[in-house]
Amino acid sequence: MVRVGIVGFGKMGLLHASILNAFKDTEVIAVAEPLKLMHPALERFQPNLKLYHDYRDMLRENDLDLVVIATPVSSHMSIAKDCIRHKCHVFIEKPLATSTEESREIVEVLKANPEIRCVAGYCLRYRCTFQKMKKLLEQNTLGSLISFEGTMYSSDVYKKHSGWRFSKKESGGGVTIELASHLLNLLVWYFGLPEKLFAVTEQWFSSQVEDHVHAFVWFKDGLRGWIDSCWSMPNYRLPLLKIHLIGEEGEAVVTNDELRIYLKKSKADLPAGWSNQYAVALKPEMEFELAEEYYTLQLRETIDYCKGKAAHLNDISTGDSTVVFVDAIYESARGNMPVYLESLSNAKGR
Amino acid sequence: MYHLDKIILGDNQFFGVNHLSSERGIAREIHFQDVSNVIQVMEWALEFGAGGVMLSTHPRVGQICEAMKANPRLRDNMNIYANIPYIAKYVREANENGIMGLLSDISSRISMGDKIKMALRGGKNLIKKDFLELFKVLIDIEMAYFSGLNVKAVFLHNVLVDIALGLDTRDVFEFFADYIAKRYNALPGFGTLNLPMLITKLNNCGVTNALVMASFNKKGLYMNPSRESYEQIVSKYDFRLLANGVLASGALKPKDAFDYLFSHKPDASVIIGASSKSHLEESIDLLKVHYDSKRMV
Repeated sequence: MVRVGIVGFGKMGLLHASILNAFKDTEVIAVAEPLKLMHPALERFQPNLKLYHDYRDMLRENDLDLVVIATPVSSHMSIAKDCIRHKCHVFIEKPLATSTEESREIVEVLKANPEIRCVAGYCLRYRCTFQKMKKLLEQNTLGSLISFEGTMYSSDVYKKHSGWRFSKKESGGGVTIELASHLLNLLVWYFGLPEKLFAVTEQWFSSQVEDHVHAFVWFKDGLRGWIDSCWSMPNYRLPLLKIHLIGEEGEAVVTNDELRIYLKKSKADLPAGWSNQYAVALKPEMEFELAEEYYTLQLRETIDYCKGKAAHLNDISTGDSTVVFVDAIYESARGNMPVYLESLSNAKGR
Repeated sequence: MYHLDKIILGDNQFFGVNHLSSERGIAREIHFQDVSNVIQVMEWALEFGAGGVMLSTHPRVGQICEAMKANPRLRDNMNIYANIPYIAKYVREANENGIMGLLSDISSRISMGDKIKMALRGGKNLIKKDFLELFKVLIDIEMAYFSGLNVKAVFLHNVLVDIALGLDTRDVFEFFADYIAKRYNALPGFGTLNLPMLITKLNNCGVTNALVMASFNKKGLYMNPSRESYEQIVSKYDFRLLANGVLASGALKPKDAFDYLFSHKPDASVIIGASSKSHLEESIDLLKVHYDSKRMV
């Protein structure tokens, strides 16, 4: 039985705890949550859980195999380091860290504890449409890639808010790190880190963090394009990520819901012309489903990774690359100039 | 008293929910922004033979309920199947202001009178007992939209049900069932994406002959852990099933889809969507043939 502790019992802590506890080989035994308000509800409805205000007490008093960190981003690094030193595997909710410096500190502690596994919760890699797109890219289905457009939009922010996500110190930034980092994480998965980018950010409603980001991005081998993300769009019932890719032999549009492909000539099992695949048709059956299937799939891979599975889609180096991408966007927007990622990465000790 | 309609109109199309594609969902939402188009579909559904409509507490549901109350035929004949709470609304609020902000906002919606009642009911162990009182107030806030209409059943949203299932909480299902039956004189129901686990849990905690809303289709869509496990659970336990996702988001033809469902659960009630008037009529006619043959309507 994998024994799990949860740090931070907000929306995501609750979600991960429910899924992990439903797995047959996993048991959530303790929760650390500094907010007193949550304790009576937990005591009332799940009296078997051990509750703590301070996660350090939880680590000391329990022999945990895995800790899920779902706290405000600025606390991820120090909590993760403590967990790793306690020989616990770690799942860190996205965004991994507020800066490359912080994520590199986690990487360093992991080097000293090579038996410990640490992953980041960029869950959209587990969405079937994005996975299918990855397979098609590996098979070079679209031929040499020419250009792309990537967007991620939601309808969340229309006024100044007070939650931690809107405090730059606690969150590390606004829509780029919070929402667009899903898109950046997928682009890193598909194409690696970009060589160069030029970004503009804007504050519309929030006083400390950006509500809109737009960036021109150059990847290796001539692929270039732009990304655009905003959490103040008028009509998105749910956040929507969309990537439009153009290659010499065809084009593809992939979203959370569907994958549309146009091919000049038929290839593998795909016909010439347009074909369409929906997420509902690609979705696998699952041991337990809550809200969206990718939450379950990423936690299943995490548990298997802790038990010895060789690889994880969002291992620490992938999570770290996503943080580097986010940092480069902020650096470019701050300096109003292009940023070269290779030099940025090296300068920070890569 | 607790008669359950067999054919119930779904509300996803009214609110832009489309499991196939959110872009398609938006196109439907534009059409149904005009509440008279919503009322028109309800009238067709009633005329063809549906007995009720499922309604989530989406921000626009108040407007729809007002239009239903102004329409005597719908008000008196169309039963309401409420699905509460509208989760997206609370998730958004938690994203914006954190869990603390969400809770303080909810408590600000509670009237002073209710706060005093909560304090009085709480006694010495105020905070602990308050949580069930707070739960009641939350239900009442969501249910206020439907006052003046015939509420036949109230479903706890599948996200909350599945959280309670995963965490293996105690008392949540019993509490909800008891409160809905007593306060609203309605059938308590539970939505889920994990039917076998829910039925097992409900039986263990003594909520028998429960009303459950779950997906049931030949494609196995939203049927966890497997389609076979759903087939087994309906044959093993006695419970009332309100089947949704029967057409697997349009992947199945209505006749095949209903044949599959009824071969496993002949007395299931069915939620049907309404992509067009002719589809609605076709689906309801097919369902009526089945129920008539079993003398169930």
